[in-house]
Amino acid sequence: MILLAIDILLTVYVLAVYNEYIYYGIYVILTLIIAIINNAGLNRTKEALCNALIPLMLIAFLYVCYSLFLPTLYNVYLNNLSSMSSIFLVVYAYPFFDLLFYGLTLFLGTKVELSVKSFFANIHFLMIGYGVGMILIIGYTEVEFYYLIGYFIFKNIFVNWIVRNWEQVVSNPPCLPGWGILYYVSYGLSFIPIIGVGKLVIAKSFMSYIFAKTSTILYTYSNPLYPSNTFSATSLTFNSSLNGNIYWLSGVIIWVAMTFTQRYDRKKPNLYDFFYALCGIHLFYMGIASSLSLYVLASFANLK
Amino acid sequence: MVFLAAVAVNIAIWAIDYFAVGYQSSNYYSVTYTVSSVADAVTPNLDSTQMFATTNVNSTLSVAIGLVYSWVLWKFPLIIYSFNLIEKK
Repeated sequence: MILLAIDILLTVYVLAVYNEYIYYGIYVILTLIIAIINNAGLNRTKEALCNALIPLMLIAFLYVCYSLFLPTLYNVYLNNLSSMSSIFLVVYAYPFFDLLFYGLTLFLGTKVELSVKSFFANIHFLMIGYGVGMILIIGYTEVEFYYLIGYFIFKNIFVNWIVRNWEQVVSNPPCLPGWGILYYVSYGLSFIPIIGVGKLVIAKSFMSYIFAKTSTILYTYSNPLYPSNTFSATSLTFNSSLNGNIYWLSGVIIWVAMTFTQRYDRKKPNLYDFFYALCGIHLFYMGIASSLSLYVLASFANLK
Repeated sequence: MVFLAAVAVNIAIWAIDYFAVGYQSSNYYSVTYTVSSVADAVTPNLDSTQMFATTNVNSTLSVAIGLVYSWVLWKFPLIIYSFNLIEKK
């Protein structure tokens, strides 16, 4: 109730001044306080601190990297290199950053307790969302598309089938392949919920054409070399034929490559998992909207 | 099944908004709206253009609906995580 009151006050009085960021900060602090208070008598302060802070701060960290740091880096490339060189640098350097973030997530996953693993695992939705968007904006006729898919296949197989046998650090949520449903449902309905920990990501409307109208970065416009169906202005509501600048088949290719190279934890779901699935869905949309907005943010945002 | 139920909640919210409410609820509703001098689109991003008329941007109803959506889809599930943290071990 306190958080709801705070959110309403922030929305009324500071709507345009990062009210979502302030809310998230207050939420993290309150969660930390109640977690410590409720565990202090049991001498579990350190565990409470890790369980409360690590997942929430990791989400914030990844979000800032995806929606601010990487676009800023792309902006620096654009200011110092040719347009094509910048694109290639972004694409070819992306696995380095992804590996860094993925490794950090796996490492921090060992610091939280088993009881909160199912929440922590949903952070994979954020990373897979960003990764899928990065591959999508290249276009499936390009070798860079398969370069990134190859990287993800290698990473998934190495982590899920080799590392997993040594250390139990990998904890993919069982519903992770469900991102395919989210992608195509959103594509068909022109739907993306209000997204962002704060509203930094440019995919800003509740009903968005971001899936259909985002162009590939190599073919900014429809190109005979890249099969695509230009989004029709006459079908402004539903997009059941999946017309768009990014060809519909790309998502299927990525889904197959990502899904069958990973292993997933099996467990009986409980009520918590329903709410965590809602969090995971939100994180997926945050991730994919961030990467689909990469070019717009880098080119047109005030990134100095 | 749990995941599909969560997807259904998302679609239900979409359906309610689309068929009954007809509002977009973000303060970013207008593509020319800017919130930050640090990072914001200078040029309107048409990839995220509006579906409904822009006359109700930041009206009381649209802001209230925005709050409801954000609580159902994101903020309340986060609070459930807080409950998970204070659960007796």
